[in-house]
Amino acid sequence: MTKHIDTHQLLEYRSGLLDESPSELTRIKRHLASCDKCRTHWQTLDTQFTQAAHSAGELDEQSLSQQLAERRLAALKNESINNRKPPYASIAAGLIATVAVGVFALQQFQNTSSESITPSATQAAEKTEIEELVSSVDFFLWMDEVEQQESEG
Amino acid sequence: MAYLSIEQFFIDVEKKAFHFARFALNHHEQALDVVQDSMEAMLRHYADKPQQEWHALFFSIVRNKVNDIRRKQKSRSSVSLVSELSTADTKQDIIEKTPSLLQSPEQGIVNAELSSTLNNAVNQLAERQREVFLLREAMQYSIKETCELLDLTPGTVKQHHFRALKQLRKLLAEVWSDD
Repeated sequence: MTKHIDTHQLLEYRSGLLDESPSELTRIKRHLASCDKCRTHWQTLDTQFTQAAHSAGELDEQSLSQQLAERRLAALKNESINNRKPPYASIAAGLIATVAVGVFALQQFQNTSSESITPSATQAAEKTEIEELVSSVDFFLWMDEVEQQESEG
Repeated sequence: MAYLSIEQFFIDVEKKAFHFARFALNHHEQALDVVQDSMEAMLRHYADKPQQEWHALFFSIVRNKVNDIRRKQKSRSSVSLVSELSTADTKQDIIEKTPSLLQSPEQGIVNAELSSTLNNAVNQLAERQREVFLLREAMQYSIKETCELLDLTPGTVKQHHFRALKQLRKLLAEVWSDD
């Protein structure tokens, strides 16, 4: 029988560190198969580590898929609430309508203004023309009078 | 493995992702958040990638999300580290709890107190050691699977596992007085 296996070697064996040493691995396996003392020690270690792992690694995964599905649903709801956008289309339509009405009103105002200015300007121009005509007629009448007076005189 | 859809892929990997996140963060709800967020990120950014890349991409996302949470926790906890250390279960706490446990070792039953003691010891392990220990011992993942989950080489996984076993023996020396 080969020499007994100590705890350090058993831990190396358990963790897989001996996988790279086939001869040592074989020796340990053979020894464990033939030595009650070492096998008991190995079984004790196995129980201890298994207990520790199960105590710390106890997971509530009975309904893992369900828990994840519930979370996905909650996230989707949340996302839909967050993504609920303000009524941009309505706001844009309102703005466009307001601008259109404003532009229309402005144009109307300008049209009205130009209409109110143009007649007076036209009238003024017409008045000036009449005045000029009248003054021209007066001039010719005056010239006639002067010529008549000269011919009489 | 060929998947009919990405949903089928998620069903296939969600448990592994959860185990990794749960052991890495030691928090059930955070682990669920990580898995869910990773699935969302995968859907948004990588769903159109070839199927053979999904596994590596998905677990890379999961690892990044776990690391993000850890980083946040570390920066948050650095302020209150002293107070936490004073209240945390130390090796001394474990030793102090042992007399009552040692009074009835023949029961062979992992009672609540023993379970808590073992739990505390595992939680005192370094992050990587704890992850490897729980994935290998509690979930019985192979070295290859553990490597894939943690993005480590087989040699590193074995080293972390060995150190975890050694450290647990040290922390639980009073409870496991078999030598």
